[in-house]
Amino acid sequence: MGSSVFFFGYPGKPKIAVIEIPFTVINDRSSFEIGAMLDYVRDDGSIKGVVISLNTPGGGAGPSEELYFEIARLREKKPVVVMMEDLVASGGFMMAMAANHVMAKPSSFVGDVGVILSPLPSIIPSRPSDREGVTGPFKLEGGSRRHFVTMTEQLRQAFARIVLSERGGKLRTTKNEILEGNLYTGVEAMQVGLIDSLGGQTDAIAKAASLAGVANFDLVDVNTEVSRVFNQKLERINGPVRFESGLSGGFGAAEIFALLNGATAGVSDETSTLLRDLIDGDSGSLLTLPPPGEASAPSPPMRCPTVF
Amino acid sequence: MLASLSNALWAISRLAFGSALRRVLAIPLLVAAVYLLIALFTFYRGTYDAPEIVDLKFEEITTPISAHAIFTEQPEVRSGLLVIDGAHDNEFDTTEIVSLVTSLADQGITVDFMGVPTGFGGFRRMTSTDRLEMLETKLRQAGGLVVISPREPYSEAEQGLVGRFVEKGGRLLLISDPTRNQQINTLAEEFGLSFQPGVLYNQVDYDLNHHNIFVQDFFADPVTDRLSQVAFYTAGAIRSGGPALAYTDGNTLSTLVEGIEPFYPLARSSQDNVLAVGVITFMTPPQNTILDNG
Repeated sequence: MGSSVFFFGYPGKPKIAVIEIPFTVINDRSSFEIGAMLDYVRDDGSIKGVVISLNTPGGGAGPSEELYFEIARLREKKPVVVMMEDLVASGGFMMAMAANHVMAKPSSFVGDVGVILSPLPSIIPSRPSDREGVTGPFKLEGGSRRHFVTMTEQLRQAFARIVLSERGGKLRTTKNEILEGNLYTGVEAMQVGLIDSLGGQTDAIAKAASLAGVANFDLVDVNTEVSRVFNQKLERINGPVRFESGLSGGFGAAEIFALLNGATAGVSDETSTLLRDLIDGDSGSLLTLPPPGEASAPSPPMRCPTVF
Repeated sequence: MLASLSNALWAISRLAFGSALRRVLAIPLLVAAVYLLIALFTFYRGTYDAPEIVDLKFEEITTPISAHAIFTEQPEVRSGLLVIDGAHDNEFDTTEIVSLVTSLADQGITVDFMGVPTGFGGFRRMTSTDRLEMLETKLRQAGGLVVISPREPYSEAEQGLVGRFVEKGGRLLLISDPTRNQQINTLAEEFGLSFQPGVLYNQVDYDLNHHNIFVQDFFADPVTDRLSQVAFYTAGAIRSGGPALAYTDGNTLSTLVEGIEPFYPLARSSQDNVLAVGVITFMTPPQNTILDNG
């Protein structure tokens, strides 16, 4: 009895946090949600280590880089273990590079290092119009095709730098081979040094605990915890809220952030309804990431979106 | 940390063995300290040593630049008619071949397009009967035929017409690349040539992107005369029963062929007057100003 109280009731008992990222395309929205979970584990002093269970085909360059840097900052405070599930490709692989320890299953598909920049401007630039005043010859398209090809090469080198710097001496393959953009099975990735070990989620949790130097720890389901905190904050909001964001039919980080911080005004009825649908819907939580079909909804169209 | 804990325990025990009042006050403190100590050793086995911050030095990434060359040539003035096929739903824009057409015009060669232009740089689709008739008429007057990425196959009758044209000394230039949907092999195979589907790439030495390969090894031929290095953009290999004119280095690979072997993006057929080029955009501005592309 005494030992039970001791082991289960001790307030300073360390925790290992588990963040579940089911199949998710990394875009602004999912990056914001994952970022909120990373913030939670960073700020909770009782959490001593983090396991991120990751399943993603990659996504936008900006959001992927954002998550890479966020995890790298988190790693300065507590150990992070990334558990690669079925697929961790491209931007997801970049994100995983920031972890202290990268683990995969033998049948996981990982890698796909590289960048897609599309659509490139046509080789022959579009004809200028005398009905349009533009301030530069490439203002409309952002540059010539060759300029975009040059940018692609720079992004490729930047991605390579992350992989080579993070994996360092563990790599047993060449930079050129990595940059071919191949997917590797977990077994192959282990052989070429792109990951640290093979195993399952229990192994990942044990590794996080070992890196953190803790034993007899509790587990924290961060997805549930963060959505609980969010729901609590949302419940404090009474009455209709108005926010003239200029958004139509969608909502962004600004609205969610406003609601997370208890804002009572400034969110349009439409946005408020969308948020409430998410909270009251089947998922039960805003921070339950959307299924593949919905998650892959493209970001607002850009001339040349960069995709990892 | 252990030293400070033992000091604290020592201080608490001194208190505990003092007066009765102190003892009463100290016992809970002692119990709490022991509790904390046991907890510490139960839950913590070490401390986390964060790895060093990785300096990615993004600022050291350099912007790749291409080697531009100014092409100067004293054109040899000739005469004749060259027909460019636009009747087989060919996948090219007239602006892509503007430097080729200009160069031919500089040499006094008349260029005639076979097909009905749309006004947007492309050509209208034609019926097979109209096409055959037009091909026959054009080839009767022409000294050369250029076929670029036809999306519609050459019929047997058309193959026969072009075959007889070549036999009589007419020159045939076949151009395509593996990024375009094309049926060029329906004509090329008639002359023992085959455009391969894989895209050539080089991860070691390239112009801006791995698909933009350098070719610097040439066999002696009037076509390759004075060429020292060219850059080909999304090129494909050609297999030929005749002589190859250029071959790639050991770092150039194909997206389809495994293993290292030289690839031939430029080749002649066994008939001397048929030339095949496995790339289109090397002659498109501004890529025609890179190295010897011009």
